[in-house]
Amino acid sequence: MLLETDGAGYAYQPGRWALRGITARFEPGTMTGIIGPNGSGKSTLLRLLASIRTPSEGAIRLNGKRLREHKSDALARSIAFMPQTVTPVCAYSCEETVALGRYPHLGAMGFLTQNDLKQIREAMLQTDTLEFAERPLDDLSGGERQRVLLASVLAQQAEFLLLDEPTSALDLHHQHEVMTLLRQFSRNGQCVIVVAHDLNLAAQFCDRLLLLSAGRLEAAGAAEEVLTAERLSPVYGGQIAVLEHPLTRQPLITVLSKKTYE
Amino acid sequence: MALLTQRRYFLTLLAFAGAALATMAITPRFGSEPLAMSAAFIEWLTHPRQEWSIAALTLDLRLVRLAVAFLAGGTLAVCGVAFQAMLRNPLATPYTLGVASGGALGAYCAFMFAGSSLMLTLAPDDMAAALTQYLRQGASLAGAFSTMAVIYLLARSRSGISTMGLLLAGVTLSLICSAAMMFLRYMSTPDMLMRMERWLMGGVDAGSWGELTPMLPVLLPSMALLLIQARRYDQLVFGEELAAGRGVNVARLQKITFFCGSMATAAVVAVVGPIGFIGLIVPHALRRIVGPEHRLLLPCAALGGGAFLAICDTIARITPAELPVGVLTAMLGGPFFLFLLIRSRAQWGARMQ
Repeated sequence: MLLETDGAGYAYQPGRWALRGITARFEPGTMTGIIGPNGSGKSTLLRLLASIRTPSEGAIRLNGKRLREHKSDALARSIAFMPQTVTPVCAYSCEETVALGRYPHLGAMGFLTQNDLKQIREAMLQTDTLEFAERPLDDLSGGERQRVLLASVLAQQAEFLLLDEPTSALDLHHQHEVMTLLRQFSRNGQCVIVVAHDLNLAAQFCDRLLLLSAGRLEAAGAAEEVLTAERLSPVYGGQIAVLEHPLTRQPLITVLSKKTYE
Repeated sequence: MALLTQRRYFLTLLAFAGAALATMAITPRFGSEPLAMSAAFIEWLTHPRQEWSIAALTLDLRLVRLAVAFLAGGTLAVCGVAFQAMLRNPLATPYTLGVASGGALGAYCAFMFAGSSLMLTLAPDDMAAALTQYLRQGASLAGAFSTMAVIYLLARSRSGISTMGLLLAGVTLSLICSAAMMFLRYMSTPDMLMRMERWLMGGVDAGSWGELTPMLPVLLPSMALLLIQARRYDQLVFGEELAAGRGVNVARLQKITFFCGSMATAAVVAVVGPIGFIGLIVPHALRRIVGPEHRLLLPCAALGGGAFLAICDTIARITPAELPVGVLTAMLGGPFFLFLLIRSRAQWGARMQ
């Protein structure tokens, strides 16, 4: 299993490129973080990888075959995608929401087998959402809802997990829980790709970071290589300092406001 | 609600089918004339039309009415569910996208034309009636289909249809159609005006099977296509991107929903006029009973919506004034709408805390 982009680019309107010339490989057993400032094309790249959008130029291939050439349900069994925001209008319970993640695996009538039920339970257990099972999704807080959504994506049981800011609404504790869980999946042979806003969280959990800037791939590599002050400051603007975490020795990023360094 | 099992799925469907059959068996008994059902039914079934007694003729009329009510109610409820899923808006109805207004404008044009046409006034009565009916239905369909085409052209985007575009175009076209209808009303005679008003109230009191059958080739395939999308709607409700990530062809699903839902609604409006609120009341009530999953909700809406309108019509026709059924559903629907609004406000309030 291998997901790769080959000079992929995307323009929402002709001539206005949101993303250009991205070449990267995503292998099972790894966890990749896509980082970059607002509007740098992070979510667009994830959408291309998830086949939500078709690249305007270049190609994205799964096992050497372009995404569009795969059958859509087979593709959904290989690649699971979690968008940034999801708002259901009807009162689905949490359990029903998670069960919907089994969609690509079910037969025409959509009845759940014992195995499906086991996967659903497992996904809810892993995301710490079992206690909400019977409650309507609408009743939960933003962070709880995000975890239920994550459970439904996990229930899809795909080799590639593509997640757009999966921890944005979570508290500190659950941020770490979820990232630890994702890292564990990657250790068990899945490929995890997350769009991350929090650079420190990304540095701590991802094997590899892709830094995007204005739709271009600025740098790719291990956290220590990508997260340097010289690289980050021009990309994000402002003065960014990269320290070493006193306990973990990992890069620790802070922004120096004018007040701090004057 | 707990996860949908095979057992609950089939038991629920069976219950709804039973309720629908019971409605079909019972409602023809009621009406201004008492009817010896079994004798009339046997006669209706075995004798040719020319030999029917008054009882069989009465039964035939009531059966036409029942069939029209059942199909109209079922279609409107199914289209309501489908549009609510596609637009991801719980307050959407089959009429939200302007198809009914287009159909009404078409029907108004037909009333104007029929009222002023020399040919129709000179023709023998029964022929004139048939011609007027086909003219009205044809014009209503034409009006609805042209509205549908305009809305599609306005709302289509690079990646399919924009739902926001659909809503805006639909609401705007409804307003334009209403303006045109106002103009036609101003230009018409009191006699025409009365027919227009009566039609707008909606009624399932068709005079013969001939009013229903021309619509079936549009209605039945559209409904079938909507029903088999059921499981995709569950994904779409959670957003276009999530659905696409699960392997749903979102653009195709939106097009099927928009065109099939609009065509089926147009066919219903052409026969019974714009009967309101069925497409709103029935889906919401059913979600509370059978849960939100569309593979159960859609067929239950078809059966339940049909039975609901048939029962409403029975109640309407045994009232002393013989109300048009549209008046009754509107009187039920308005307060129900208000109830939904108050409840959702209470929920928002609870979430703010």
